Amino acid sequence: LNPYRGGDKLPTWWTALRGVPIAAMALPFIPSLMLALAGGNGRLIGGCLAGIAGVVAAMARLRRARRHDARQAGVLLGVGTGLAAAFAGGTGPIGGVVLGLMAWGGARLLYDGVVEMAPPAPPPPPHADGLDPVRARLAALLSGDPRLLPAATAMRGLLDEITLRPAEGTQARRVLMMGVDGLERIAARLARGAAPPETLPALVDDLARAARDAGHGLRATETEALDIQVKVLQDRLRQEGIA
Amino acid sequence: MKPVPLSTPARRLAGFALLAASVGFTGLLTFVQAVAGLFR
Repeated sequence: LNPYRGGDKLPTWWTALRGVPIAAMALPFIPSLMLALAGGNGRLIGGCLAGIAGVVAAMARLRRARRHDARQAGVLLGVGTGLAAAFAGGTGPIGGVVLGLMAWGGARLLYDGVVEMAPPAPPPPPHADGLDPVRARLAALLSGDPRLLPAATAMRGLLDEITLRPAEGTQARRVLMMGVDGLERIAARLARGAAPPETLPALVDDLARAARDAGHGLRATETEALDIQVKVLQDRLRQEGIA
Repeated sequence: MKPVPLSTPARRLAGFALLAASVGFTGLLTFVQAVAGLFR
């Protein structure tokens, strides 16, 4: 049998109809289940339910159409059909195994190589820059006292800038840590009912400005590096006689 | 001697036939059993 040959694109809408042939073949299970329920034969009811469950599970897999789902659908259908044949069809264990294997093989042949999409991508790895505790503390500040919000928002912006360039910005990190520490202490006092001094808004503004300046500083370093890079490349092109 | 692989349409047809012979036949068997169970 050919291995997986499907593309990694999202299957089209009619993928949902892949299981319809199986459903059509399994239609006799429905009246059988009704009659079995009427007769009250537990073995028969169980077998019918197993067959229907196998068909439904296989159809669900075929509809989902992630990689290897068609193979799993074959296994589910095989197990369901085997159980149904053994318990409700009166074939006994050997007949059940044979019919189950036939169903599995048929599904493998019919659905082998159909287009399936890749499994969902694993979640992105957490930031490895050691700033996660600061992120959590800032999130708490941002949802806390509204008087501290301008400074906390600016600190959040600075944190984003630092995240983009984890190797740089020692000074910016210092500003961030100092700002978050200070804001946390102020927020704790305010939460305990302290009356804010008149100088608090000025301090919050100063902190916000310091954070913005530190962020600008980081970006300026980046801009400077880009300027140098552009100049070097231009010189090189000139030397090579390309431009 | 290398085995000749089935072409895709032949493979699909064979799969369909196998499914019909297994799932369809099992369904019919259960139906017969269920009907017979009513008269037992």
